[in-house]
Amino acid sequence: MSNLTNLSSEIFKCIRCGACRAVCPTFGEELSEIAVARGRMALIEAVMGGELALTDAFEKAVFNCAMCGACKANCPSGVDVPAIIEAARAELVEKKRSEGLVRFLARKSLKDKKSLDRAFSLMALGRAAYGPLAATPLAKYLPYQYEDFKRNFPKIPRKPLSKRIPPVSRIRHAKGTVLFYAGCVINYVYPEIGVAAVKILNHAGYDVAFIKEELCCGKPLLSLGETEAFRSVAERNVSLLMGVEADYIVSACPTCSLTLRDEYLKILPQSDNAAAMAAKVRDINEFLLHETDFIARLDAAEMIITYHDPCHLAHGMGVKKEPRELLDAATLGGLVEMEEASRCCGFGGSFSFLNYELSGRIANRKVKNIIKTGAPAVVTACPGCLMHIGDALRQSGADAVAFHTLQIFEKAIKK
Amino acid sequence: MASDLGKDLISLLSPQEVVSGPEAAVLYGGDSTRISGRPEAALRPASAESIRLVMEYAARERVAVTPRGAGTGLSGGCVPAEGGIVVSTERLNKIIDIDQADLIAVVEPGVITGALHSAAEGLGLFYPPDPGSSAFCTLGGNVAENAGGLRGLKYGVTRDYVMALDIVLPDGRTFKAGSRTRKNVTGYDMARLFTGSEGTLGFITGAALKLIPLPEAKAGFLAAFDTLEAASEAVLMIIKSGITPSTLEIMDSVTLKAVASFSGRNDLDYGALLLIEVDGSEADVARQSGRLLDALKNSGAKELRQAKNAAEQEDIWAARRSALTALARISPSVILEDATVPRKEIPAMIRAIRAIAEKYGLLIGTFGHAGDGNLHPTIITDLRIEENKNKVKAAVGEIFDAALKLGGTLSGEHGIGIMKSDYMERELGAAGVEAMRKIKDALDPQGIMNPGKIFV
Repeated sequence: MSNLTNLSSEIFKCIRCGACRAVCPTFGEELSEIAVARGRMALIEAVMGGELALTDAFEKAVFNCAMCGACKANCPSGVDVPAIIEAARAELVEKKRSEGLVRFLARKSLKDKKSLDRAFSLMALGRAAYGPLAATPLAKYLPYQYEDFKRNFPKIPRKPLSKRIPPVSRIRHAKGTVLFYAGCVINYVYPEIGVAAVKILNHAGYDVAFIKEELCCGKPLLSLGETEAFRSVAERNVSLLMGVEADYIVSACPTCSLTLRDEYLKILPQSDNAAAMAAKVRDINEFLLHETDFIARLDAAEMIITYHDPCHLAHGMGVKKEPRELLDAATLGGLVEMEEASRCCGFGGSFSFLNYELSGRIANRKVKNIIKTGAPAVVTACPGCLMHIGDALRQSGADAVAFHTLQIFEKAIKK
Repeated sequence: MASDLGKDLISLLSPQEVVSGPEAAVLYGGDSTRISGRPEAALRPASAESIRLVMEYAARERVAVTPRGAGTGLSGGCVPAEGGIVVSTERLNKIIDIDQADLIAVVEPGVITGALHSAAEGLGLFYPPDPGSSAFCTLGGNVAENAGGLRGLKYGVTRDYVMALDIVLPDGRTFKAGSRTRKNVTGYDMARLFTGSEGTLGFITGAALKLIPLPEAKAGFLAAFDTLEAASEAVLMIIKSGITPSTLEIMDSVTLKAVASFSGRNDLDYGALLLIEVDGSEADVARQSGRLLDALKNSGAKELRQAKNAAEQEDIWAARRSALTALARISPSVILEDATVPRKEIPAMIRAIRAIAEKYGLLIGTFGHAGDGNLHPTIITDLRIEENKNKVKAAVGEIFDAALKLGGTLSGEHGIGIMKSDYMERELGAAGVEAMRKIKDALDPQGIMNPGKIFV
């Protein structure tokens, strides 16, 4: 129980007020105490007190959380629910040794660069073979039937970002060097966003370094309770990233930023390098607004947009106004706020692979809020949200299209 | 879950309405008091008819039934003190109708209070009761506990908006208490009897709630004082000036310090703060604002701020909204009391709370609805330490005594539940408690409706 006992004071802080019911995306769909932070805390406490065994229902409750952190951000007592859920998952992995396809694949493919490359090439193949059939009635005759089969996944390009940009993209009179950390989704699924990032960071006055061998940040492993695998990835990433001279480490994936900045410190508390690295980490929107005059270098493009707050950016890093200010400057039509802009889109990384049906219902609520604004484009600052919202928009037949903030900034760069 | 009970309930309802497994008792056993009982079964009915079936079954089998809204209560009202069946209304969350001619909202009991606020306001209408938990508590729970909130001074409490209730009696029969008409003297006022009955007389499966037109304008003010006494005197001067603010909140220095350190503000270094809002027509708001400012100037306020726009308004209320949060961050246990006194006794009550805090060496932050005498002395402690439990119990008892001595009441808005049943006789005397007891026994002779509440 050591994973949890370390957090017993944190768990005791939950006063059961129920404030999380207002913001929890899984509760919003299930309307059930087993699907909300408060209920999960009660179950975890019961397990720690010996009242409840590590039952299957307990396991489901603990893994049925999108880890969006809205509960923590809105909790009167500031209970670190995501950390407690992660600890409970680690406990389950240790004691119950549950295995599943998603867990198996994550452990096998996220551990090093070669496996990552291989996993995403396989995904690209799968997407190419199955993608066109997925939306047709023929889908049910295909040999591989998985819960999230109908996912409208973007095409995975042949050439990942690591084959598209050099180790350093220099400009004249650079103010310094930014190390761009792409993360898996940008590297393999949306390399064009990585290319845009380099262009934008250059435009903002910085040289951009990039590590072709960068590893997955490891967040999926942490979320799945694979603590040891996560520790190993964290250690190797810290030495990789600290091996490059840079003033800042910038990512356009908030999950990566949050993991590099906060989670490595927790798993490697003794590491001075992890601490030095954490101090350099910024989300790209945060970086552009606070550390550069990028906003003055934009020519607003004719566009009406709405904005979706990525959970790890808004709840995890507290970055809400930065992307809005930049988007406001980058678009002429301006930003139309949607209702519940900071409510999870339902992706949650491994969550959507473990619970695609529930994650889809959460996404549909997001789609409704997007449609209500009448904006033809929804912009977000996370490639995971982009993938998931794009999927939900296409499946619902909505006209709105999803973009990453960098895709909007790229259009608005002064020529 | 006792196996027979579990089987019976599954055959009575649909499987989705029965929470299965040993997890059910853990999930549906507690509320915001952190007191927790263990039900033998937990249900999530999908219709009022299911609730009726459950009551009928419970009456036949003599099993206890505890109704539950969102489980946000502060008195243990939905805690299954004697086991039995917990019936959660969380799935019954539909606003059935908002009638713009009759100015009535018809709701299922599990509708979130804040959802009715938004729905009504979208139509230019207003449902004033706004308990602090309005973003996640339910209207059924609000009616059962007669919840109050920030707007009590001008607009009253939940009771003042209940027109009619759909009731399932403890024997499984149903009737409608009250009606959709403003006037109704057909027999006893049963809707009022069930409002605030804490689920001890019957199960509320639906409500018709009164709405009013949404005030067209409002204005917000902040007044800072050197001492809590000066602030509470100012409350009386405001009322005497002939206006009724829609909210009139007070925060003491303990609370202000907590808020300052929690939100990094450096503009809260005062002995006490009043936050005031007036609403009405544009002209009326101007008139009230003038009188309010005059009263505050004469009251010796050290600083006076009027919000010039929505952002400043928001800034003023942010301090109040984070009061409980800020206090809760200091220590893991929070005991939020709601003893209430006649308005003119607020200065005396505040002095009494101070003395009690000092006597027991407890940190007590006081904030609350000064306008209606409903204070929230909030004890910040760590209840994992045995000694603290005893201190808190003694201090709470003394807070109740102080409120009663000043002509007040044990509970302004949280209810008696399990927390305060020991103290009922101090306020009502033996005869008063017995009169209530007789009503309870007449309607629920088997004692199956939320047993263990209100009465010892």
